[in-house]
Amino acid sequence: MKTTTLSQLANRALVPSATYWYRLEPRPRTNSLVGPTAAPARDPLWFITRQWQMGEFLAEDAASPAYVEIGSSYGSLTDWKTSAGSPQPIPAGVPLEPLVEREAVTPDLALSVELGQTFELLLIQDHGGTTAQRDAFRVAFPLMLPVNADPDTVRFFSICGGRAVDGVALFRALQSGAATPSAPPGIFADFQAWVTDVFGDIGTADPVTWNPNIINYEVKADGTLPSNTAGEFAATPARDGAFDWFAFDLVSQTRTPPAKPPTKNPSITVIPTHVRFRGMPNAKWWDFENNVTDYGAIDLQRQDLAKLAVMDFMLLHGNDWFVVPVDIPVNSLYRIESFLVRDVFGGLTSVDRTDRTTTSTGGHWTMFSTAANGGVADFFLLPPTASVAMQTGDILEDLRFLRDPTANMNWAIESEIEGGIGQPLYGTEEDARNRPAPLPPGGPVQAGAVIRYGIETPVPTCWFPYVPVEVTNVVTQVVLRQGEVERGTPSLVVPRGRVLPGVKELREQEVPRTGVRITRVATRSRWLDGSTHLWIARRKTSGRGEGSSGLRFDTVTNV
Amino acid sequence: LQKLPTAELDRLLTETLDICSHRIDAWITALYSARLDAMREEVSTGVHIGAYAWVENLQGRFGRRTTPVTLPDGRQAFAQIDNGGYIHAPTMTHASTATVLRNAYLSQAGGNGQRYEIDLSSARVRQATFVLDGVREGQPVGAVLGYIFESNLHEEQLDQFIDNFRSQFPLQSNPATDAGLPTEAVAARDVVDGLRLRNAFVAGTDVFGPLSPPPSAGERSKLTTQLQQLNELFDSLSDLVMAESVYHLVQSNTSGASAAFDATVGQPAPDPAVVQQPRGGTSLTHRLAVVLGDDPVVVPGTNARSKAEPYLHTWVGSILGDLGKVVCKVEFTSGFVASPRFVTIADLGLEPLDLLSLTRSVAVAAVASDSHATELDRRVRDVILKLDAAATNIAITYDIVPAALDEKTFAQAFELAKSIADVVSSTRALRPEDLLLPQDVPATPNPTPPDVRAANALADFKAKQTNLSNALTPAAIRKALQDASLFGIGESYPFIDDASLPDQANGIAAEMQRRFTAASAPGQSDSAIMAVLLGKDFIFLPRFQLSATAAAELDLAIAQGPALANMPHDFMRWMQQAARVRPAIDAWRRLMLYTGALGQPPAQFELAQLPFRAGARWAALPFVPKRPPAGLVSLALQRPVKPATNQVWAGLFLDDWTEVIPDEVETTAIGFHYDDPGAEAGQAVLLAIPPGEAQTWDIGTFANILNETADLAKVRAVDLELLPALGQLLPAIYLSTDLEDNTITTNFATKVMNQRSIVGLVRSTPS
Repeated sequence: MKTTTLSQLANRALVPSATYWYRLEPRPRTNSLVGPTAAPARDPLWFITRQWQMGEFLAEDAASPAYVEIGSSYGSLTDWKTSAGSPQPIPAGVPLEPLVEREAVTPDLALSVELGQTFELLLIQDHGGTTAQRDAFRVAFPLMLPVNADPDTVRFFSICGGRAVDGVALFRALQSGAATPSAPPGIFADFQAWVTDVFGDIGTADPVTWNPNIINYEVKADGTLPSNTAGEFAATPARDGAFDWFAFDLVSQTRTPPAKPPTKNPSITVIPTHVRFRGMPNAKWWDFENNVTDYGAIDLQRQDLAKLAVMDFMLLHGNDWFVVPVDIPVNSLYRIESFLVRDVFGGLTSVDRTDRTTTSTGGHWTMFSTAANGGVADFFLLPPTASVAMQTGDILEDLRFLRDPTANMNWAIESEIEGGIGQPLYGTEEDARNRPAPLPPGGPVQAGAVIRYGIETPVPTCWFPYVPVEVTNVVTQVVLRQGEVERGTPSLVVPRGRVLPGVKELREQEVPRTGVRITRVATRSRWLDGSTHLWIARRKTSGRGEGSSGLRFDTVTNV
Repeated sequence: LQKLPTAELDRLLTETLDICSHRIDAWITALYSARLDAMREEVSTGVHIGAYAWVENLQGRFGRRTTPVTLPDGRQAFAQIDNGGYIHAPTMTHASTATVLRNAYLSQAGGNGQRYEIDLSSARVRQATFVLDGVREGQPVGAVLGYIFESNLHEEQLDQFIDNFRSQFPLQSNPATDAGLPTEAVAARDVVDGLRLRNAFVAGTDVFGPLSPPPSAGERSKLTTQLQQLNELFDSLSDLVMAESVYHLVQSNTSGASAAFDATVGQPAPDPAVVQQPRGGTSLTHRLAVVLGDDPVVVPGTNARSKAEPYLHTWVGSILGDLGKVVCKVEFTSGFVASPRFVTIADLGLEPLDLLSLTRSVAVAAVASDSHATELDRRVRDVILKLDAAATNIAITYDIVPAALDEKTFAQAFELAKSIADVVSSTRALRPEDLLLPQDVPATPNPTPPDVRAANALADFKAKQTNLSNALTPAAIRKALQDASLFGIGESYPFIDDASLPDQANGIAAEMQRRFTAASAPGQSDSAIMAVLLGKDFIFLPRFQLSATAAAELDLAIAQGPALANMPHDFMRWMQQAARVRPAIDAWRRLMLYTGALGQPPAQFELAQLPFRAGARWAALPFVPKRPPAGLVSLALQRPVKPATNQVWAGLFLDDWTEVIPDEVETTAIGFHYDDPGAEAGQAVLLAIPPGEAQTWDIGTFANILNETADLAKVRAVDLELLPALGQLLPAIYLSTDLEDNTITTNFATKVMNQRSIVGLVRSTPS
């Protein structure tokens, strides 16, 4: 800026000139969002001005909710049954899974000794029996080494053989009422109660609810609906074996009132709270916020409907959603009979289920509800499932069903089974042990022959073929029937696990391209009354796709 | 001004400029301030406190409350008009998820509410999880959908159309892998791409057109039903994936949200959490341990392992029984020693812990051939050679029928030792904190009792190493190698062939040197030194002593043990069940079956439950009369010797786990829609100043002041842009400019052109 002193001004010649006026106009507005979103503090009036600008003083014809009145009633699941069987009660003291999934415990050699020693302990310690009595039982129910036992079992037998009662044989004799050596009174009842309490049934039968044709459980349940009608449910366990809420469908309702009427709860009042989650901005402009999630960092793409929904909720409408807690008993079909919001001016508003009415496309907007004949049931189901309390052991048996497009076959593979003392036996190792030695390159070779003709290549001894067969019952259907391939073994190779022997035929669609994996696992769970339950469960999960057995027919090799 | 930061200067300058230009509110409040100052000069204390709030533009929205409802109890209510409704959900988070999705549906987020039309009822959740399972196993979504579609056609007896659908919508990934094989076979086993079929169907493409033969009217309607089902299936899958993403987003778990999304493009996804019902319960921790410790009758062994771990040596020895009664038969040709001869494990110079290690590398064959391939064979052979160095044709039979009832064969003893080794290898050393509640573990551990075992082992090891390095004759090398073999160093038992001895000795000496160097590095724990010296499979049990308070509590708890449950029955039942799901307990069960069969009394466990509470009951049992408190620790201790709790302890920690006893009542949540007024209270403390000389406040005055404040707040937002014409009249800032400098001149015309900063300078206060 040019400067001049007063004396310079005084001394110079005055030249006519016009004096302009510049007007300084401060412009507070800017296009940048940096300043406004930082919300800098100014004078006190500025705080109120900003709130007014944000619409925080706008009146609405509405009233804040003061409290919510909830009237409710609930029924429960009362019985379970197989698809054709009669109803069995669901007692309060047992979760649903052991009731319906339990398979009999495999009577292996280790269990025989375990039960035998339990019996000996009861005999000698509790019932004052003598070692002579014990020895009589050891003679009457001697431990037997199964034929073709695996090496682990043979070594086990080398120690325990002759030194223990076969507890499984004794238990079965007691069940069938066969003769036993004399024993102190009451011991048999004690022993049987012990075995039943700890292990349940012993045997190799499939669980009653198991349908080998679909290789899955088929369970139904009866329940008292809150509307005081009896309902029938179909139940399908999830892949972890649990019967969670989504395992159930309401398949039918009968008008007859159920044996056990539903419970009606007195109405409760609860103070609702706004739906809030971490990182959600507060409704008030000047509130301090806990910035946990940086939503700006979420890369919002065109199809990211979920993020869009969350942003919409956070920024626009979150204020209008509330949540109230409701305590409901385990094993309940819980229906909200009335849901009334009492506002601060005393008005009552009745709120209905979102799925009471249909949407514009004719469906239901619904979540966490039970499907019922194309619609949804009007209750929330909290089944008596052990779910999170379930503790599982190592896999006892691992069975895979798969398609083999190369050989145009379907196979079941026993990749792991229980050994003679309950230890895992792996299919590949067992195959190496049992497989006949490859045929020597013997046999008369025609003079001048250069090739050898083979009917088929060998298949591992743990692979079992399933061949499609057309069956006409009412309609013609294709089923897969368990077959056999020539393996060069002296006798027929039969499945050795617990599942496959029962699967003589299965529906073709049960072996999809994805394959199917069936596992058996021991499961243990505590329950509401503190009781402990142990059961062996089967689980059906998706397989790993197709496989190849390497089976070839009509092979030709060079001599 | 000099001391003020530039940001403050900037603010003050712009505020001053604003006040001179358009901020009339400042002039108005200045009057109040002046009045306040005047008042304070008279009376400087006293203020009334109250609250204020205001809303504006209040208008009744007719139609909001038009549907009156008479409740069963006679009361009047109004039905919710916009039907936001409520959703009963498993937890608060689930309820939040549901409200977010419901809100998106109602508010048409992204311009299309139909995309948020969620139906996650039970059947649809199962359908969707089934597809997700297939995707998790690496199948493309299209293949899984296609498989289900084909299965349904098959059930409907519409198989003749499957091939045609396949050729219309082939799955693109498949053909390459089956190249070189008969194509018919592959084609027949292929599957329709369900995703593309569904998209085509939804887009209105005529998927029936190419079918041949053309479907009849009946078949056409069946096919349409199937295609609708396919669409339904896809819908339920996308509903589930969306709900899962929202569920993770409202938990601020953005990676979970992305994972759920990625599932749709063929990557494995975790189990959907949005459909799980979390359950509360009482937690309980079980711990099982074998306690060894200061036992006056411990007879230390002579071998390295026994000296290092005398307690374990004694305990394992008591299970294995007298090793002098474990026999095998050896036949040989000798000039003066009678053949056959029965050799025992004691004859081999092996002690229980050595046997445990040997089972890991040696399997006992029924009959050993003359080759004497295994270490065990060579050890037996050396026993015979000690009797007669010239013995030949030595043949060993391991599985003989024992002559006496209390004798065992090698095979039996090894099987028993193997079962002990299985137990030991699935355990770790017991630590003092295993005997305490988690909250009672002291920050600084109780000092450990003095222990010279590691130092002794190191010295012993060094001596054996020196022997081996100095040995020159075959006999000396043999002796040195035999000593070294008891440290568990690879193939260290001397070979039969003298010629191979020097090589073997060199290899072992090098390994011993490596181990010694590693073990003598300073600052290592005793356990680390022992692991180096004796190999990783050797378990070293550090000794410890509990603090006085911990020992006192444990004493109380152990003394209470017999009253906790009906022992041993309750415990045996519990163990029999636990063994089925806990591998470590299963190993213990096997050992107990063996010792039971061999006639040893069953190992007795003692129970102790922490924290000690008089009259308590074992938490593993059904409740009588009521549920135990959460956080109990149940200890099951097997104590072959019973050192006092304030003595030195060592032991094996068998297993531990936490289990949950589910609650009888679960807290679920209901999310609902309710139009909440969005008004907020003012964010400023108002100081109202009485307008006149009146000594009392009245409501009218106060309302006027509030109204005026509300008006002022709006005036506060006024800037020049809102005052286009009026702006000319404002007491604005004028700066004179004279090109000839005839008056004081500020020439912005040139400055604005050259210096952009001037623009920044005149930015005003409210930003």
